[in-house]
Amino acid sequence: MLFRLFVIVYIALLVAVPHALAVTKDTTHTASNAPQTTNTSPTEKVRIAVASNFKHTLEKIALLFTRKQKNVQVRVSSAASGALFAYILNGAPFDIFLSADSVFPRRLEQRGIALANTRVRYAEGQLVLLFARHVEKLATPFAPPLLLRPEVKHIAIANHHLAPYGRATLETLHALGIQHAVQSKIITGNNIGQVNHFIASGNAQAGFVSMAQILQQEKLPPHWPVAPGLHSPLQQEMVRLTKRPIAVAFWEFMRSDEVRSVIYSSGYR
Amino acid sequence: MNIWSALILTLQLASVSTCILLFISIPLAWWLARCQTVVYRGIVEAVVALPLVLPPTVVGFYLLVIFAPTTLLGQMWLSVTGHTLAFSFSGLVVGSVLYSLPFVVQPIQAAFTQFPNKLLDAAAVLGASPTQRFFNLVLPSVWRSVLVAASLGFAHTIGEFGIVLMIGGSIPEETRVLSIALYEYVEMTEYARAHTIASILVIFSFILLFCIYVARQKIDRH
Repeated sequence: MLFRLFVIVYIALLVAVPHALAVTKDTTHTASNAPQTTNTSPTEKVRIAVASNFKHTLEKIALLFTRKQKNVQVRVSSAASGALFAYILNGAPFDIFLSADSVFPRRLEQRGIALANTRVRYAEGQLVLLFARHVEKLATPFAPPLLLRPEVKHIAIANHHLAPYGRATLETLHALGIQHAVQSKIITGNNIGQVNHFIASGNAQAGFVSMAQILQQEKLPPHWPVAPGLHSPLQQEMVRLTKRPIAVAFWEFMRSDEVRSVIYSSGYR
Repeated sequence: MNIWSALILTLQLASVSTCILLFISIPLAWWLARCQTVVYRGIVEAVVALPLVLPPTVVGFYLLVIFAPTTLLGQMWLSVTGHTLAFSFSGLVVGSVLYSLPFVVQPIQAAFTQFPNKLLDAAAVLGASPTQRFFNLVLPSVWRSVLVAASLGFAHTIGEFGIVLMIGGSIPEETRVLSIALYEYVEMTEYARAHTIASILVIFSFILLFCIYVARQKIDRH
């Protein structure tokens, strides 16, 4: 008897709580917008697959977008570009794909999965050599030799098969001529987000991440921007995967001057 | 990436973890089976069973935070083993032992609990010391259950993924086990290699579980 009551209450909660949350969300919106109209039309969702390096910047952009468009929800999924590419290949329901390079969007375009003529460059990424906070402050203007020091035990890099930033990292190490010297120190994160976390938690003493990830931290950690000539440029391109009006609207919004200035100020070129 | 090195590494990890698990689990299960204080026993049983319900990400997160080289525990670990807990084979062993503990403790505890007290009393009357009673009487009669428990721990360690993903760093021949290699092949859409690993795991796990269940039926008949 008690058990049955428990089950009924449990199911009621499952149904009622999300509903209640949705209502409170609507009321917070109506506080600033027109009061009656918000509940009449259903919320539209635009689903975006984004390379990990751009996630924080996209969240800023999404906030701007939802302020402009009423009843829109931006659903963000982030992973390494190559991982997202594989998801999309297998029919993952995304509207827009923001890659960290131009290779994966082009391949989707060639396979006819991305819509033709929707591939656009939205940012140029900036690779950064990041040090954990407990590693001594950078005294030298040229940081890479620090990687050879014994106190740097682990150097975190993104999986170069999946993450364009990982690919650029390997190119950089190669260009610096230290790829063999640091080989035994390298540990691989699935994406640039995990690399950042390995360093932030102090488990790795150094690693290569994106400038945008550093700039969104309150106190800047010791870092060294990788000089542009050391790797092929990180041309970050996006493609549209559906013709839904809301997807078109977001894709257009990504190319507006307003968004462009957000992107530039977030650590992209 | 080499599938063979990942396979050998996985078997190494499972073997080492299983040995350590047996060392921990047999005394722990014996204590749990004999313990009369409900509260103490409840606390220990709950802690042992925690990995059954917790997501592996919780264990992985705490291991990363608690054993970071910047912390006291991390420093101690570094001075004892010579390397950090994260991104090392020994780190994976710690994670696997934590995560497979309930699978080994619970079957052994069940066997100990079923062991008749009368026999222990009789042995005591005949002058057998507690250690003699344990090693000459109890352990030989529950060895099948211990074997089943060890196999379960072994199988479960082979199937481990979440913790390794969080603390491993995917270093070839060090922390890139089969499940991680499979995950990376899938993400790279190299399905032929992914199939190879997946089928190895399915066949191996089936054979292992089949043996475990046959052994269990024999235990029940005894």
